[in-house]
Parts: sequence; C-alpha cells; structure tokens
Amino acid sequence: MQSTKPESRTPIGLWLCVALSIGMLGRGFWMAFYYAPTEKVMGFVQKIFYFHVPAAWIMFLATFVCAVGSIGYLITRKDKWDVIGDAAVELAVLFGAMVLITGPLWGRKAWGAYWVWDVRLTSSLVLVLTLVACKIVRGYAGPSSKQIASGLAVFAVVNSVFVYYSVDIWKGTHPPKIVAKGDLAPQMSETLWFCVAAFIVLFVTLMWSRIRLGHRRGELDSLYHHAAELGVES
Amino acid sequence: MNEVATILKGAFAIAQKDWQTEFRSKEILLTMGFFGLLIVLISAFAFYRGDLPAYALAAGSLWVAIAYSGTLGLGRAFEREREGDCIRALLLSPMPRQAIFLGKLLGIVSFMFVVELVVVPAVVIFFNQSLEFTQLWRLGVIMGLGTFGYGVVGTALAASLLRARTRDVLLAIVIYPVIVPVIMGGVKATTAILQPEMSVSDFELWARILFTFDVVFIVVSFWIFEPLLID
Repeated sequence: MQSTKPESRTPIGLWLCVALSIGMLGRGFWMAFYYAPTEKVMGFVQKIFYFHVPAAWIMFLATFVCAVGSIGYLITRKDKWDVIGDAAVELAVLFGAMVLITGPLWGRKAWGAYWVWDVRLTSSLVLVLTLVACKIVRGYAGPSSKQIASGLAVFAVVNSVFVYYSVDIWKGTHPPKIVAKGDLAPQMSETLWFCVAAFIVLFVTLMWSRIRLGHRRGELDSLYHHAAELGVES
Repeated sequence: MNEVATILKGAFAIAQKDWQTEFRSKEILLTMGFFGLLIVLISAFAFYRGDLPAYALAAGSLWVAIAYSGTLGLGRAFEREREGDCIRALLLSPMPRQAIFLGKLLGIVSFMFVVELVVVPAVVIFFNQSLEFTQLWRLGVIMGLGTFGYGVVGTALAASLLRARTRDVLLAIVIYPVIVPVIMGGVKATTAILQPEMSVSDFELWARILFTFDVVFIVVSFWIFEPLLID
C-alpha cells in the first residue's frame, strides 16, 4: 500500500522530467534519422555519432558527479553524499556501456574492425571497468564498502582526465575532435546539440529517481535496524 | 619543513620495520619472486614461437609478471598489518598518516625492485633478448617509474581493503583497472627499448606519461589515504 506521506509521493517535477526526457529523446531520434543529412563518406552508419558522442559526454558528467559525491562522503561521512556517488556511478556505467556498444558498431564501418585498441576507446573501457569495480566493492566489501568505493571513484575520475586528453597525447585512430572545432554542417550540429540536451535531461531524470531510491533504501535499512533492536523478527 | 622531516622520519621507520621483518622471514620476496618467474615461464610456453617478434612478447610478459606478483606482495604486506591489529597501533601513534602511506609504499616498491632483479633476467633469457648498456639504463628508468606508479595506487587501495570482506579477490578487481595506464606505458616503453632499432622518442614519450601518472597519483593518494583508512 503506497504511503500517503507527501515526501513519499513522486514529485511533479520528476514526472515533468520523465515526460521531457521521452519527448526530447523522441525528437532527437527524428532529427538524427530524418532531419540531419547523411554523411557522404560513412553514410547511414554515421548517425550513431548523434548518440555515441552525447553518451560519452554524459558518461564523463556522471563520473564527475560521482567524484563530487565520493569526495563529499570521504570528507563529511554523511550518507546523502554517498547516495549521490552511488547513483552517479551506476549512470556512468550505463552511459559508458552505451559508448562501448555504439563505438565499435561505428568503428566496424569506419575502421574495418570492431575494436582497434585505439587509446581513447581503450581508456574509456578502463574507466568503465573501474566504475564497475566500484559497484562490486559496494556489494561485497562489507561495512567499509562506502569509503572504499568512494576512494576508488576518485581514482576513476582522475583516470577520466587521461581519457579526455588521450587523443592529443597518444595520437590514436579515433576521429579528430571535429565537434569542438565547429566543422559540422549546420543541421548536423543542431541535431548533435539537441541530442546532447536530451541526454542531459535523461541524466537528470535518472539521477533524481536513483537518489530517491537511495534515500528510501537508507530509510528501510534504518527501520530494519530499529526493528532488530526492538527484537522484532523480520 | 619540520612536518616534511617528521613524515620522512616516520616513513623510514615503517619501511625499516617491513625490511627487518622481511629480512628475517623472506616470505614476500620468495613468494613474489618465484611467482613472477613462473608467470614468465608460462608466458614463454603460451606465446613464444621462433617466428614471432619476441621483443613484443618479452615486454608484455615482463609487465604481466610484475602486475601479478605485485598484487601478491601487496596483499601479504597488508595482511601483516592486519594480524595482531598492527594497523590500529600505527593509527593510534602520533605519526602523521602520510608517513604510514609513504613507509608502506617504500616497503612494497623495494620488494618489487628486488623481484624485478629476478624477473628481468628471466625474460631476457626465455625470450632470447640481448640488452646493451643504452637499453639497460633506459629499461631501469621505465621499471622505476612503472613500479613506483603501481606501488602508489596499490598501497592506497590495499590499505583501504584492510577491513573489507573478500579482500583477496577485491584487491585484484580494484587495482588492475586503475593501473592499466602504467601497464600500457610500461609495455610500450619496454617494446620501444627492446626492438631491434631502439626508438628513443617513443621511450621518452612513455617515460613522460609514466612520470605524469606517478606525480598525479601520489598527490591523490596522499590526500585520500587517511579518509580510506579511518572509519
């Protein structure tokens, strides 16, 4: 039976975010497949770019938020920071998985192989693996899992800086950063930035939901402990 | 300056404790060294063929052996602190936390250097390589930078897992993703050194990258060590 306490009901703002996410993602798909012109060299498969690039940027954003939550927890030891860090690491893994699936699909057509051990792709893989290790630690390390996972997340975010500058330092085969230099056709640029905005709204929606879930789990744990103290059998 | 001297003095005292314990028991050195040798041997059986460029295999085998034997050593070095609750005694002492980190780092890095004195000749012999002086000192630089980077990350993470459940399994899971840049840089630089026409520019590039990694992660580890260790 759903609680009637006001703080338990889903906020109107979250419902609006859900609706906005669905709407913007729908429009983003339309723009990618119908509005943006087809790239003359790579053809239709180039359209993965409109989802691969925003997913990569959101992966880095989620990693940054995870680092903020982790640093906040390590300094203050307050659970609200740990909830933020835990939520962000899950979303970073989700968007990272999206990057690592769409990237090789694009690479198969562009470079003739699914995986060419390009340093940027490789470093993204390493980042995602580190974040997966954070989740494993949370599940299996026991009482000190929050601080271990937080510390590991800080290492992961420092690693992500190496990812961003890897193209310049290691001269990989990854496509050059044409987005930053503004070399895209206007309709392509418009589609890309709209997809980025859609992914940001999606990220905010998922973070908000996940943080609420984290708080509910914390409340449930407190109730279990309280019940155990009172001698109530679960 | 006083604080730096205190940290260095404390670190040296902890490292000396580890060295003395190890000198008496030789437990970590023997197990790490023998394990590293076995990894090189298995790699030679698994990958070495007469028609393949052996220098690339040698470089990969060397760093795999260092990574695996290093994890073994890290786990054992910190298990010693757990036994008898020595870590609590260290934390209760007036010694700065950074001194504990630096002392354990010095200990583990020195053990790894000793093990590398066994593993490097094994790689050279089993993979039929020859090392001139110009290659040898460059290899020494890369081993130093790579081992130090590995030690920095490994010491911080192993310390954080002191009170964790399933710490033996978790140590490998948490260390390997973070030290992949060290392994990547180590293998690339070692390949550049061992190949028939040594590539000095590649060696210098990867040496700079490893140095940057070491500097960045020692700063991060210095800051993060105490929050990871204290409940």
